[in-house]
Amino acid sequence: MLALGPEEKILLVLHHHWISLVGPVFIITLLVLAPFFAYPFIASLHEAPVLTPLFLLASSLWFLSALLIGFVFWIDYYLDAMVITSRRILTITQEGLFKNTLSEFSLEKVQDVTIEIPHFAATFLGYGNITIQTAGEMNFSIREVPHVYKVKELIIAHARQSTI
Amino acid sequence: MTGLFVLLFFLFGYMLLGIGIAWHLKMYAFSRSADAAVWIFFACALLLGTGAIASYAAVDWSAVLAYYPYLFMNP
Repeated sequence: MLALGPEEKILLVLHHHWISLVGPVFIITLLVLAPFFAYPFIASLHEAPVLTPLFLLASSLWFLSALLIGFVFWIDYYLDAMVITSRRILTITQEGLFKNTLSEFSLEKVQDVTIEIPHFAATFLGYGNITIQTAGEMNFSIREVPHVYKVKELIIAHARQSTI
Repeated sequence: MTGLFVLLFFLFGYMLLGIGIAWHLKMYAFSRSADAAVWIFFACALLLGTGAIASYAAVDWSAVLAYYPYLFMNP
């Protein structure tokens, strides 16, 4: 869990847009459906009474693997985020199973917020990329996030408040 | 018995990996939805693991070996 300072509040947790889940969901759907497509072939064989329990065993292990892959996809989606609090911005990057990178900077250091809507699909579905430039000349960015304009307004408004 | 040992070894390894991933998730989680995801994952894994053991018990290995003697033949 994130350790918040006194009187610090989480304003927004920004995950990727659901479009980034389409590929993983497609893969998991294929993995889950594969045994159902294979079963009629097994059932049509002469040795079906013998093979069916073996097929169920293999399917159980297959579904277990699909479950684990799906869980890892979800963790990758969930832990890849930008957290905006009333005092700072944290960018969290999850790579693979166990690599987690966290960068943070205070809202006072925000100098510029850039929004990029890369193509028509992004315009149509309402997502884009956000890059935040800080006084330390470091850029922090998150790709494919929804409501980019509202996020930009939120960051700028709170950055102004914190510099007053 | 070797087959059952291999299955239990797989399930044990799976459980260790699952616990490791869930622990990692709980370390870095920032909302309650992570707890729900962990519970759903372990409930499904328990169900499927039990199903795998039950399926293993239902397999008539002598019949399988009679049909496919080459399946478990030593090289």
